[in-house]
Amino acid sequence: MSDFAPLAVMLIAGFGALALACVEQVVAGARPSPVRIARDAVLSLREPIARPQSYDGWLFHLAPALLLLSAIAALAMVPWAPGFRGIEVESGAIVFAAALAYVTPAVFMAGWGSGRPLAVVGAFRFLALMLGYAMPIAMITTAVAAPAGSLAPAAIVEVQHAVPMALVQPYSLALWLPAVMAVALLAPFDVATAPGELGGAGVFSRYTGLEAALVALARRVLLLAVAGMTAALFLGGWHGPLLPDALWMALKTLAVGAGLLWAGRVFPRVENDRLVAFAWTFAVPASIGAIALAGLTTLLFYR
Amino acid sequence: MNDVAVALVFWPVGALMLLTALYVFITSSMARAGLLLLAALALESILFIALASEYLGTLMLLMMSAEMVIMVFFMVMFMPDPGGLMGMDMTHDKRRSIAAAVVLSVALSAVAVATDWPARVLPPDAPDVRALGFEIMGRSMFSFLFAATAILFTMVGGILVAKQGGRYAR
Amino acid sequence: MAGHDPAGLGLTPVAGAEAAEVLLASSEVPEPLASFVAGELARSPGLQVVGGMVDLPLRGRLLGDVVGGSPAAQGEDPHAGHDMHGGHDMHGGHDMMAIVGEPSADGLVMEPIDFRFGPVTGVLPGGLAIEVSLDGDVVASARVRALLRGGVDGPRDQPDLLTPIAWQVAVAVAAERSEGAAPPARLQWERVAAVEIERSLSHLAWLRSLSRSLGWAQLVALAQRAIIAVAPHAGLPAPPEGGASLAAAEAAVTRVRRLVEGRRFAARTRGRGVNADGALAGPNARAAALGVDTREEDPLYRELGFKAVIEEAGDARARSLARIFEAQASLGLARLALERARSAAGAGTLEAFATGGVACVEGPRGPLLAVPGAPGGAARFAAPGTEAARTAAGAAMVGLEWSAALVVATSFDLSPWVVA
Repeated sequence: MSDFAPLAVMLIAGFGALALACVEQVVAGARPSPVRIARDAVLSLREPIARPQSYDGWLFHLAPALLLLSAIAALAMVPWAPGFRGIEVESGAIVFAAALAYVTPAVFMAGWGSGRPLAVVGAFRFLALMLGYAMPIAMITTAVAAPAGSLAPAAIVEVQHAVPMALVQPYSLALWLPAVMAVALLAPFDVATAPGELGGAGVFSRYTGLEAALVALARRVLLLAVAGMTAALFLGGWHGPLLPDALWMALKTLAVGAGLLWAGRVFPRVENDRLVAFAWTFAVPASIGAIALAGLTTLLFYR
Repeated sequence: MNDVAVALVFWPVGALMLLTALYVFITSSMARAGLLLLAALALESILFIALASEYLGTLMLLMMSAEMVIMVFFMVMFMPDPGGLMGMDMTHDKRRSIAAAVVLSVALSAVAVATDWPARVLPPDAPDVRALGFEIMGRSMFSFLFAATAILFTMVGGILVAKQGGRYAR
Repeated sequence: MAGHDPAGLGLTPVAGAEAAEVLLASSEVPEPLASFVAGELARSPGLQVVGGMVDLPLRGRLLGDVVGGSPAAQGEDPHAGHDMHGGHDMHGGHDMMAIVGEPSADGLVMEPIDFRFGPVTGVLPGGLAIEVSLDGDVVASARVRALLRGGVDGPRDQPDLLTPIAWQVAVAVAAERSEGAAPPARLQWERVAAVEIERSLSHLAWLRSLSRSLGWAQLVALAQRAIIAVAPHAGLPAPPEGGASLAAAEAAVTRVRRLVEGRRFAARTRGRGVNADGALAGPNARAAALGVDTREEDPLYRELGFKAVIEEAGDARARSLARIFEAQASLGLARLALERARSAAGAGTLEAFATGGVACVEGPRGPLLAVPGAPGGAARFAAPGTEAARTAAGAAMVGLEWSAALVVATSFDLSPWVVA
């Protein structure tokens, strides 16, 4: 890992967030316009920071920073090319899950700190959902690490040099995608930031100015991290003919991001009680089964 | 990490951890108490990572975030004045608790200082995941299986016993 | 206590016996209540009883359990009789901040979250406020209030600005009927077209707000495109080239209709908010196979081959289907009416299917009634069913999780205008 890796991760976060914002515009049917995004960011930075009445100041003001920190920490685990594997940690996939786990306290702090009844309701709904997606993420991580024999994302990419994991373990991908969409606050699982039901942007609706910009940035970086890790763990990462490795990884990441955003548009939001019931009665037992099946596949094909 | 680097991380982080743990009892807001406890445990995970136990430290980070926020959830649900606006005193039975705390701290510190710890300095890239794997699947397999199954049945059974019908009118 | 405010005695009422320090007993406590009171006293030994003439057997039971009162209350309470007792530490073993109240649906005593949703939200029409009491994320009680009132001082004012064209037509028809003058046929057909286009615009705008509460961006975009396609045709009189470009609007509405009929929509709306209240009107009533469509009695509509849209389930899905079918049918009717208008000539007929001078126009939310006032005075208006819809929406929200409750409330197409 070179000394410039952290700086590189920051740059990828910034430009990747901008690219995903443009993808978001395209998926919504508008023309992609980075200039407009930059201008909106500058305009929102000019607003003063909100200090609403009856709020918990420490929690309210620390939440955007924690959200951004967890997003960038998750992004740092994504391997982009054989020469640049993010911040290389031996148990990188678990660090990814741990970083994503801090989205929950950040959302809770934002909701509780806002002091609005609907924001608190949003925070608690997200909490109720949290175990339902945290366990599948951790278990599917184990399932895809089994063939590679290692928790390092780069090793998992290497083991897909012949066949992507999406073809070997399609059930794992099917369980992984809803879980990461829930943790990245993406529709149709956006119970915390539901823009119609909870007024404005749900738990984040009280933020203005710099904090609103940080929240917007953090959400895009979360999407980038989640899309990148999906591409690395399931779509073969940087493997592909003709084009350079980093370009393949970038294309796959943008494709996954576009797919997740598109899925958010064409489905109505899933109700929280149904989502939690589905998570506990189906997703968690199925993830345990996925680990068992992954073990079987590993013994048959990878050893 | 060499000794100086470890020391540079260990002592300040340890002090900060004790400070945040102290603030858990000074604050009267349930949300802040839970999140300060989360901060203390997260700092403890950093200590783990600094002492070459990277996998355990990461696992602690992962689990403590969820657990502490769920604890806040239950505290808000069951306790009066969760916002801490009325300044309720979070300590009870002060004299006995202080006595118990002092006695236990002295005892644990004596154990920590007087024990003959193995004098092995691990390199930073020691294969801790591998060692853990062999331990869990080898010597400790029975205890982990039993504990895991017991926890799962307790969780599910406790909810089934406590619940009285559904809340939602579908 | 009759005629006496507890606050005037230096006392504040609390919700349950655990938090109470003083129990005021009037005379003649009935037997079941007496056992309850005795039980409460057994649990709260620090409670002091202050009362006037209490029945003897009850007094025996009460006095036996009470330990004492406080010196402070003795001086303040003019009703203190000989039931007061000596001083005692009030706080005893109570936790003064215990949560008291009725247990919620899952058996735990919780404090509800009370707030007001509105009057400016992204999903309900502006001016509509719902006073909600949430038990966790389930609605415990809800009351919908409309906050807007139209100006009806002058003869041309509108009772509500959501359907101005329908009201204008109603006022004009009422005036013509009271004068007995028949408008030209062309004008009558144009009025039909304008009312129908406004109906479809209203239903599409309602569907767009329902999609926002569903969190379904695709349906929001499609509804928006349909609105943009229909909007240029709105207004009185309708644009002259009328019929041709309505076809594009009809295609857009068909795309919206397919989504509303589909499974994704049904998953969130089927079986929710079933309501068969007889006081409802308009599509809300027709979705439960109640109510009629007053257009069926209008000969102009009969000439166009109008058939009312009736659904049976009475749930949110049925209401949505009723409205989207009506919106699509309205565009067809408007197109036919504009063709008739182009080819019509001469004076029209003045059908009187309502007695007196009461004009009735079927608006998007139900029949709109207008009675012309005295010459120079204001007309009188009525919109039956709008208040009933608000009440029904508030009642239907109870017991549902918040997002489902909001979808059900939106499915009634509530009007924020109070029509006197």
